[in-house]
Amino acid sequence: MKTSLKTAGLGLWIALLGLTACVGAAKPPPDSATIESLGILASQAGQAEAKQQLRHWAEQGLPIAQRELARSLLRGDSEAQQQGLDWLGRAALGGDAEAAYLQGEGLRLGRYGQRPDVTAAKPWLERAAELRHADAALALARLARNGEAGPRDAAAALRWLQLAAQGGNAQAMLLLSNAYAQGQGTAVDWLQARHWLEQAADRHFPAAIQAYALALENGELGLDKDPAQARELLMEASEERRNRWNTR
Amino acid sequence: MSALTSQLRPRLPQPALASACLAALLALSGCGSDSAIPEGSTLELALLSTTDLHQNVLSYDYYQLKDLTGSAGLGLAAAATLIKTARAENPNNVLLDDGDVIQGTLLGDYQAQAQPIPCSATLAIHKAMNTLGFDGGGLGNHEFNYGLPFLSQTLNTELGVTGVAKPAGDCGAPKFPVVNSNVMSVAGKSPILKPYALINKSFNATMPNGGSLPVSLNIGILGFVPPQVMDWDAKNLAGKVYVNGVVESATQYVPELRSKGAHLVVALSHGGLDASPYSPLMENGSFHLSKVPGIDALITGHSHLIFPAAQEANGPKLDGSLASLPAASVDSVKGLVNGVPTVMAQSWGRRLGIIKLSLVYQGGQWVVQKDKTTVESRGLNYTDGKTFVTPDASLASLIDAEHQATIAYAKQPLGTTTDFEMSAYFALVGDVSAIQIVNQAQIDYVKSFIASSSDATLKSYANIPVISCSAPFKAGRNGAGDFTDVAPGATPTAPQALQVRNPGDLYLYGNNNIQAVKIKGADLKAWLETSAKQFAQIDPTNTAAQDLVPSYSTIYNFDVFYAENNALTYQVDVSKPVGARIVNLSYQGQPVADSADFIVATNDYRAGGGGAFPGLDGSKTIIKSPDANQAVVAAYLKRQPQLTSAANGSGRAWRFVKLNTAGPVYLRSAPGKLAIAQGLGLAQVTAEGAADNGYSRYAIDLSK
Repeated sequence: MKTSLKTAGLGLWIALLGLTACVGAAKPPPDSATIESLGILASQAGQAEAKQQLRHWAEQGLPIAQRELARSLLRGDSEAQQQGLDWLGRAALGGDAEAAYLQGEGLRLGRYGQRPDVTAAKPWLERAAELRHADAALALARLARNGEAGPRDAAAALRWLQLAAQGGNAQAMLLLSNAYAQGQGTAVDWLQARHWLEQAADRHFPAAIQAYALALENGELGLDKDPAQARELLMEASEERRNRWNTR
Repeated sequence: MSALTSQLRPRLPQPALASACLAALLALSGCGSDSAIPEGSTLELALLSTTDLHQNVLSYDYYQLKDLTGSAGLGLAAAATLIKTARAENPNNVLLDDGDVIQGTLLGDYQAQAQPIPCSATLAIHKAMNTLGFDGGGLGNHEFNYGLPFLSQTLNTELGVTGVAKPAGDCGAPKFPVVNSNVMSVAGKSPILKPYALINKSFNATMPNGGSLPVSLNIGILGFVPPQVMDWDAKNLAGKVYVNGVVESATQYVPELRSKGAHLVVALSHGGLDASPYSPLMENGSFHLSKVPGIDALITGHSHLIFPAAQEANGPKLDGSLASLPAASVDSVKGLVNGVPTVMAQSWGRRLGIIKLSLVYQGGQWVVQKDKTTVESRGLNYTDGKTFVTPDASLASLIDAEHQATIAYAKQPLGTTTDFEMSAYFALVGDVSAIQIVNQAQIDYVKSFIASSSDATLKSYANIPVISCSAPFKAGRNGAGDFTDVAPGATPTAPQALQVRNPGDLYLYGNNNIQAVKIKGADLKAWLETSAKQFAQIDPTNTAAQDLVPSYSTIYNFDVFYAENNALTYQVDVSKPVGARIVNLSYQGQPVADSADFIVATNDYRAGGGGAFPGLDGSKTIIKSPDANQAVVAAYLKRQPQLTSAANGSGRAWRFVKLNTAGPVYLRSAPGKLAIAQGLGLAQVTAEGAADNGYSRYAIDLSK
């Protein structure tokens, strides 16, 4: 599922924890859930003491703490955002996939007081994708499809979409389904098109639920016509639209 | 699962796993011994549960004004029949709900927004739940959809959130405790509801000698919502509350609940099952919750799935996401997750969760006999897979006033009139009488959004033209009777009032959210070419009859564009192959350059890649919103004193390139509508001809 890749950076850190435990470090560092819980208090509740503890751990070099500290700082004024970007960069270089993704998207979209710069964004997204960050792989797929920060490359787009879809990104699954249905960067493959559409709908992505429902109504992609299930799916989508309106 | 994460998996600290084994022993120690209960006494107990009811009391579609009873049946009134049966089978029972109760049907919107209920009234769904004698409930994410003040009122609870005050006096509310353990007030740093509750129930145990013995048990309940509510309902929640991770919250409160005398602890987890590594930010935390020591049973939801696998004949197979959970931890036949009995009762009252626990009194305490536990997610057709239970009629009477008021609301005047019939019979030859108003509403929304935005990037787009597209969603796709036709017969001398439900006719897909994309002129042309795929390629030399639109199956992909004052115009040359049909695309009288910027108001389906339109992959989306296109249309219509054909129905952006054909060309549409085409001044529609599967063939003269 989605979280598994988003937390790949955490996974790395946990691996380090494991290693340090083996060599008998005196005081084990906090685990990822502890740091992220503190991140909630810092970002959502604005608790100063939580931010202070995160800063302490960030200064000790814990990438997750650096990222969570950055997240709370990026909600602040321009000075805080500048610090936030600095911490984000350190977390990303320290192997945190989510931080690399946030850094890349921030540059691509011109967030946090930065000018949009897709060329500068790309290496960060690539770093995140190398760490198996599904959302970063989707962003790279879009750059390749649309010829941004490089020439259009349907084959590369397909590879990134596959990585993103395998990592659980539902938007990527829908686009991958389309690519197989239309033969973009690949031969037409109806089975794959159907598989990834079903997967995308299973993740409650409203656009994919609708696409799947319409395919069921029409009997497309080798599906048997099933208007009753299609109607149910559109009801589901009507509920999900209130949740997943801002999906990455 | 990626190779990387699976490699790392064995390293994950899993202290909870080991201690899960101890959970059963710890579980029942809360109350100490009761000397009156003979050692070896047994107690059969059923935890009954609903989840994701979504304000479905009756089996009714308020937009189509249609009863759904039967195979498409749903609703609490139907589930009530399951509850009645299950209670008869299990005299010792507890009835719980897992959240997403108050939102989901027009009834919910009516009671929350159109005609917000006063403090003195109780929501229809809560009335029904009170009557059914629910013992406890938890929140779902959708409980926040109508905002915190409404939640405070309808739960009759002070939330302790700054700026949110419950109305004075006792408000109508559930008569059972509604708990939540992980949503906290920023101001108070405390839970907005009771984080847990003890439900005291009297049961009948069986003594070793076979005699019956009344006993009293405390059932402890906790509740959890997905932390994602902070994104999903940011508008209602940001800065007011924060959401702790489910495991952290359970770890804090389970021991408290035990120390206060809970014999059994049941987690009402409004989340699904996800076995990927735990994070306090994860949406579906129930798998990890099962590993928190001291939880005896898990009621799950949110994913609208069936767990354990359906047991009725020819029941649906286990959902793929559940089937792929690690078999070592999840038994999807017995309904065990890390050994903890777990149920998910789908949604909308279509199932009832039944966890049967068998307790034995040993060493002065009640102990769960794990091997005797059974779990079932029982469907409305559980007896034979075919026969659906008869809904409980008393619930229909109980909420009849609310039901009728909602129907009356759906039919109520929207507050505007139209002097023209808004139909889609001839949308494929250029009529926009049912489309232009949608486009006008969407343009208005997006322009206002940009004008009022504080986002620097959006602000910088202020001078880019905002255009819009929408499709004739109901234009023959489901047969000759399936056409949008609002205010039939309306004329300037006899205008008609629009009804509340009409926006649903003009904009069929209630699941769509409005979005805006920023594209180039070249993208716009490619978009129009894709829309124009709906037309057959007409061979002018062919003397045989040619169907202009051979299939209506994907007519929802026929996007018709509009700019204010009809400033965007284009023509379609149906004699050309797909991809080379759009000519004379111009904006404000000038040809559209490939490099020109446009902002297009559309929906989330199209913007996210639905229909596979070139370049639309979510990356061009500049506005995302939880506002439905339908609601955008409704709000815009309400602000118009009257709709006129001149202003709202005749701004045709596109027409055909004139073409002389050797043979006849026809369009299939509903029979008997030639007068409408003529009234619309569609000169190309010259005659009504032979029938074809219920459709009439209208002769189309493309030279006109």
